[in-house]
Amino acid sequence: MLFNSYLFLLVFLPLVLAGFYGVGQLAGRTGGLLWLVVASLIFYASWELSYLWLLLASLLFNYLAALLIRKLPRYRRLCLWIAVLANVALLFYFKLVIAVFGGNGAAFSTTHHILIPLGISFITFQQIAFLVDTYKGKLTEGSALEYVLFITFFPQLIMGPIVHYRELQPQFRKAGLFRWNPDNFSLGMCIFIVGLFKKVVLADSIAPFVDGVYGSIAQGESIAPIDAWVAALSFTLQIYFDFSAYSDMAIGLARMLNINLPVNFDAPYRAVNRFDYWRRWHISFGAFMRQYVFFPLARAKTFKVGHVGALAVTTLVSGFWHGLGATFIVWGALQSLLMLGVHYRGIIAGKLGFSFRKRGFPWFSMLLTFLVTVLLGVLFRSSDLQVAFGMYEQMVVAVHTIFAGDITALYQHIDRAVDRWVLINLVLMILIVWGMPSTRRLFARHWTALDQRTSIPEKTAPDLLPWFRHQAFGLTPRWAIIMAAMLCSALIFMSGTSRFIYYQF
Amino acid sequence: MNTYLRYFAGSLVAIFLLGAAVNFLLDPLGYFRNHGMHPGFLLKERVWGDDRTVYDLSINTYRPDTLIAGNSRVKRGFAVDDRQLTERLGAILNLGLPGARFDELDRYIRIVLEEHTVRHLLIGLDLGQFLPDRELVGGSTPEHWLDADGNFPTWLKKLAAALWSKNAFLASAKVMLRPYNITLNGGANPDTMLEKLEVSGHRRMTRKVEAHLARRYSRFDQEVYVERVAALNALLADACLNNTDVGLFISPMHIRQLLLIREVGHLGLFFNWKTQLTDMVSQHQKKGCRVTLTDFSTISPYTSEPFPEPGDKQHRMQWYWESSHYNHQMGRMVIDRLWNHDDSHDGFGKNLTAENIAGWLGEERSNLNALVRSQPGLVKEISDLIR
Repeated sequence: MLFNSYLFLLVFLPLVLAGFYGVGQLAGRTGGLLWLVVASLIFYASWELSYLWLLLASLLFNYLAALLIRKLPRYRRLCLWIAVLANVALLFYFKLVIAVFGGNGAAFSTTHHILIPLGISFITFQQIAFLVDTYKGKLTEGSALEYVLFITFFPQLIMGPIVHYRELQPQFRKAGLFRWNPDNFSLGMCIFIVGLFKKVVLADSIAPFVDGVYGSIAQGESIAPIDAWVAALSFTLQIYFDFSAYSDMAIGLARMLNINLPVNFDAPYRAVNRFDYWRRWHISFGAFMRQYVFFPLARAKTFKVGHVGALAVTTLVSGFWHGLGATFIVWGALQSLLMLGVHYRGIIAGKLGFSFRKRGFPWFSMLLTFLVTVLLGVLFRSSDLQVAFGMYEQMVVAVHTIFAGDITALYQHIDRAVDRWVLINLVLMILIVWGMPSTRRLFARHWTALDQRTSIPEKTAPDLLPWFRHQAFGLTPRWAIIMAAMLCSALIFMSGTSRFIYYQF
Repeated sequence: MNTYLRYFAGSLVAIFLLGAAVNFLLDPLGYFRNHGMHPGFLLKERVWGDDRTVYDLSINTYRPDTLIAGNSRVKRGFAVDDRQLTERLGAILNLGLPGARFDELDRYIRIVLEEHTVRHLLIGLDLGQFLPDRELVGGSTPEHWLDADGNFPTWLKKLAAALWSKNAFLASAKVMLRPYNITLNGGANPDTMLEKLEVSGHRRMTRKVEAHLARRYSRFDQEVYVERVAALNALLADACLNNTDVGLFISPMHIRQLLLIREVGHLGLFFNWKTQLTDMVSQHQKKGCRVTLTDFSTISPYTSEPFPEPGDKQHRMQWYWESSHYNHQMGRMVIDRLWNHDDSHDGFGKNLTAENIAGWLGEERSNLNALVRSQPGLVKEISDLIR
């Protein structure tokens, strides 16, 4: 069941909301939480019933492992290792399945048959974090029901944000969880509408073009050089509007249920370097990697890899997390090299007494970071290295044509081959990315978002559309009209068949 | 409910009412099928509703002397701004309605005939127009809006679909933007087709369209078929009363299409249909009506044009966009032969009469058998497609 489907919007969601407030009031906290668990399991089973059993088995295993960690102090380290390795092995197995049988193409198709249990990577990470936090004694003991709901809570079950038990459990226990709160509901609904609009109107509008270009290269057909650039740029924007849309919808849905999920995106394409980018893109994933991979490695006494080694391993692991295909591995390795480059650049600049931040470089840095993201996106999207090289080859040819002064030929090709709606949408998306406030900033007046980051993002580039940039959502008639119009547009554009890109991760 | 939610709900209702009002003003009864509804509550897109709405305005504005009506084959096959054609036929309106079944086409043709004096009416026919579509809840005919027993929920659902479906909104938007993006005299822009060919090539375009047609040709409903044949008969009678010359022609189908019909087991139906059309035309001719029936769906050098090799996007076919849709060059030849009735050299564009139909179909059948024997690879390709 998709968030962007009539079935979800018109049947599932109203029933869940009505049941949540109704059952919560009538049957108390346990009844309300149980209602959410059942709804979440139905939501998961609606994709593929057989994977529900796997999810339940995994829940049982990890819950028992956490119990053993608590109850057997002498063997708690062993229990932790066994449980973590079992989780990683399961994840590895399914990543192998998709690498062998599906390739990245299957992962990125928004209509392709689902090969592996949905959200397996997200679920595994949450469970590992739970086990580690239990081991470290950071968690207060909770009920099995709370644990099951923490993992299966349907807004974030499939694609995150990756949440910690310590973030959700207290919210499950807070007084007034089941009390109807119109302000929370309004806010959640509007965040959800923004997400729905981003997915249905923006991301889905360019998906066919991207699929077409990458599909053509995969089939050995030739494409025009400029198509390669437009497709690379389109994918970069598509994946942002697709993934951040899901996060917005998840946060909005949770908010409608009086639950606060952590922010997951913070204008990533306004980042001024790779570190800044990872502080803004898929924040909950970045926080997880920092907390559970980077810091343990950097501080490890047994294997002394240092900060640089830890950084390299962390970025490689993040590549593996996305998949075991060669493109993901190269993508992870390149991320690693780039981040090390930024790290050493900072050190060298510091020794020379030069600061990039103070020299008026933000626009340049932002565009350069974005360009790198576009180029890395080609690897990320390609079904194999051959396709990626095919794309890069055409991109180089396009650049060569421009330097040869034959810009008219490129323009004519855009005019003929690329659908004009794709171009209009691209321009619109770029204006939104660089000119309008992010969801977090837009709703900041009413929404104190949970933030898993330990450091704030860097100061960003000047605004493309300063007036829009400083608009803030308010519970006012003007915003009610805007949100109603956005919902209507989304409903009109909604096809109900387009999945989210990150479903397969 | 707090103030914000009240404003939000009010805005939502206002927007929907405004949209419904626009839809109602432009298309009060959903007559132009700019709505569609699947069973239950799901409002879904229905094909080409915008075209239908736009054509209504075009007819009123353009006042054609000649009307070339049909489905997408006509839309893509005739360049109505061709000077040679307009010198011969006067102002031409290409009433090619993509995906149109004959009952829809009939309604549109009648609108034109009722409003204007049309000298020549050319109707491109193919068997698919007489076969049923997937039936949706809510037919497109106004009379069918109310159930026989006046079932309240059904008409409400149909009304909702006509006023608020995605296509209704998009159709209305397109009508309002019409001066900027629609040519008045219809017809597909050949540049658009060439761009598609450049991107996909003939083969890929053909695969796509044949997969769709395989499903369409495999459907048959006796009641629908009889109803639509009767509609054609009535239309011919009315055209006769209006003193309009009618040229019916069976579209120039590529042999792949012929094999497709054979593979789904409807070859007999196809030949019977031709016979029935011929009988109908003969009866009208006996009454003094100026009506002819010409068959271009024959096996000929034109309809047997070979396709480029797989992966070849450079080669351009002389007569076809893909196996289902012929190009403007073929359209021009169709007009030439309709006017000259000259099929002596290759049989392409055979004028069918009650006297020659039996012999002609016999000849066609043996030609088809010879084709099946001589091109097993092509037959297998089509057969695989059906499976």
